[in-house]
Amino acid sequence: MSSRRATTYDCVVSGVGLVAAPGRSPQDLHLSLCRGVPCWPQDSAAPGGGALAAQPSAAPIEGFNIREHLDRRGLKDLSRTSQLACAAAAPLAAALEGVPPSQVGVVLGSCWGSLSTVVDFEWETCTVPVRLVNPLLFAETVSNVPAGQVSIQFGWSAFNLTVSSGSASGLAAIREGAELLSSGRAQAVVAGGADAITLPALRVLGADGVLAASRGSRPFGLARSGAIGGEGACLFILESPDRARARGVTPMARLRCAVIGFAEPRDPDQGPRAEEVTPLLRDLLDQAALDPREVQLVAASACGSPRGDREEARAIHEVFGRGPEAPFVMAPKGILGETWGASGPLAAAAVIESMRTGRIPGRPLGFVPDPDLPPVNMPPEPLARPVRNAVILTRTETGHLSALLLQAPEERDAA
Amino acid sequence: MTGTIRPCVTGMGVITPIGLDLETFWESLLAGKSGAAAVRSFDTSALKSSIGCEVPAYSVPEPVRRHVLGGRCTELALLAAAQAVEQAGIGPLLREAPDAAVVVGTTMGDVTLFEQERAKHTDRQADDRELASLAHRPLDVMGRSIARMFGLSGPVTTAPTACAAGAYAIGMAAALVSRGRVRRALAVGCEAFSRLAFVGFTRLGAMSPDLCRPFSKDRPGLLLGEGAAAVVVESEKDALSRGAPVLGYVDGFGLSCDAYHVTGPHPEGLGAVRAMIGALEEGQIPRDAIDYINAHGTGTHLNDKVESLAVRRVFGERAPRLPVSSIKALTGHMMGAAGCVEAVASLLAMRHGVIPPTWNWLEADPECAIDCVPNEPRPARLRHVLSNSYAFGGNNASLLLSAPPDAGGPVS
Repeated sequence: MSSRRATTYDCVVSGVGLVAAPGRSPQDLHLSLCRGVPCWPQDSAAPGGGALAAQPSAAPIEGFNIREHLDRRGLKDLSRTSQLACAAAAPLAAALEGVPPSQVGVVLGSCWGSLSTVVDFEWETCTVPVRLVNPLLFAETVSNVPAGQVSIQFGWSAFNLTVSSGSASGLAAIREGAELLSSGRAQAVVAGGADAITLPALRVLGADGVLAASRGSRPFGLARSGAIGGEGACLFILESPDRARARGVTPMARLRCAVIGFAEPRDPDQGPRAEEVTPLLRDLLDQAALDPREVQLVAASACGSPRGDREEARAIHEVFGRGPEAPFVMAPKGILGETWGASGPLAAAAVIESMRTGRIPGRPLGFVPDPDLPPVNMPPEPLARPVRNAVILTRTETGHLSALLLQAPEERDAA
Repeated sequence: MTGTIRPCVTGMGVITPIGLDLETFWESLLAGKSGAAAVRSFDTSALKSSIGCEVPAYSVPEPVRRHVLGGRCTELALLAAAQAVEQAGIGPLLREAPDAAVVVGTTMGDVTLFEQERAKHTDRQADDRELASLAHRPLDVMGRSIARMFGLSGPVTTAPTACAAGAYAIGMAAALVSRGRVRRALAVGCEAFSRLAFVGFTRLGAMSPDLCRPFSKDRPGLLLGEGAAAVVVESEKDALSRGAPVLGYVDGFGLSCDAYHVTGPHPEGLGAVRAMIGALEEGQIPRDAIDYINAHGTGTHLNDKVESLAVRRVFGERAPRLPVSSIKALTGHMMGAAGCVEAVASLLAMRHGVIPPTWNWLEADPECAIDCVPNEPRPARLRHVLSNSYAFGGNNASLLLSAPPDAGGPVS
């Protein structure tokens, strides 16, 4: 007998905090997706971009300054991942009014942890006398410290957990947060993902052939050649509908169901095959008691990978079909780049904004569909359409899979 | 646990500085055989400390080696996992039903490949070849390798929660089973001896120049270690129905965060208190029923003082008589592996009815007013044990482990 993988939850999203290349709110994010203009400079020689922006496959958050998000001492010495996570958490502190900090847990997903700090620290240990090596830099190399910094900054102490499963980390963290919430370990959970783009990671991925050959990502598109390395952080407040109502908070969405899985990739350029993705998606829908035709929007994980996108397109096509009843598909990585641990939560934040506004982002400007892929229903232009149920999928070239099913809040959820 | 299914342990494996199998590991714990020696993995001439607890020479059989996607940390993890699966006798079951979960705890992950590549280049320039050693994704490569070795398709989760990670791995695996999310889970804690960690802890002033003396007055600090441990967790019903021996139960998983400081514990031990109480409440076990605590007990002044304070706060008047020991005097601090190795030590202690002592203890510290079981194994019937783990980021975890009915030891 096979174990059941997808799990349903009685859980709502009652707050979103984010920092990403388009801005620091779900509205900024959604607007950017609807505009369809990628967040990275199209000219690699653009002045003022710094070393990261000069990389042909990088989409850093230009001008990010933690002090603009959180006015506290000591933040400038934190790793960039810690800073991004704390910046995303900052707006949630006010949104958690009425919940004792000791009753708030934190779950952060990260693919790379503080890789750049690891490289910097290694460099320092070899180039300066040991007695001058900065011990605080060592602390920031440890992968759970970004989550720990979030707890320290805001006093959230019910529990603190970091999970890492590649680009699926953020959705895995949200699922783990829902598990911990439903087991009664906290009244509210701050869960999501954060990753910083770093030169070491870009070089690693460039050598691996994961990154795009040119300054374009083009998920599901013709002439796609890989991902653009992005960065960001996105955290949700998860709590029970009853508790949100009691606090006078109207939820932004319901977290109905979540699933995680793994499929050892036969080919690292491809990641899990469609045949390995479809059972998870079907299980997600089955557990939520939904017909595929009741889903209006799918946020895909596609990042421009020639073979990975093909498998994802096949899986979406297989599960949701085509034609007028097939859900619309959006591919946020065509605008944001691959933001790793933040990618799933950022896609979920965009979905929530689509639920709120009734507006579904269209294809990136200049998008040319790949005629060799199964058709993916990406609207040519943003369109007005109510979104009641949405699926967010992440799949990694290393074999991790995770998916969420979000539902628009119901009238009875209103405070 | 929070679910309706009672999770039990049916297989264990260890790769440690004091033993590459359960039997040797247990004998070393009782005999006081230390893993401490001059560091072999890298040059320590520029460092104040040169003693560490490294795993002795080991071999990786070809059937295991072909699944190693990373470096030394992955090797240690796979070897421990192979032992645990063999003891549990679930190899054929995993092939039939591959949807078991893998939960891995680690601190640094598999960064040693990167260190080794960098060490080859005296000019210290970062070139693509050196950075390519990070391409295996050092944080989650151990879990992916384990899934690959056993052909698993269930969730593969890595909890890089630093020095509490091994305990997190067991607690998360037990929660998955207890809540019916999976029928079986493999929990692994692993860490390779890392130059980065060695230098880092040296600069934090936490390292002992010679021995680790947990809870002893004037204790000089911790020794860094490495290793891996693995446990197979499944439902009691499944274990009994297939006739597998139950080695112990995971009845509680207490979590908390200090939310105080990145590297130091809360001075009042509040987080440690909440983690212990959380484990007890989850297991619905009264405080009086705890027979032994396997302490985090790193041997640093601050950790042992605060952990002792937390034990006194939780157990009150009983605290001075409650046995609390640390095995880190022998194994060193195995960081991400520590919580898992120490849980295995706790399960072995219940099975054999003997408390592994705190070796190297010299003199009572008034700030550690606990019974730290100094220097001599102590026979005891152990029904319920707490295993504590604390970490950077203020991450605290306590496991409540319970003995199987046939556990040994004299009734106190």
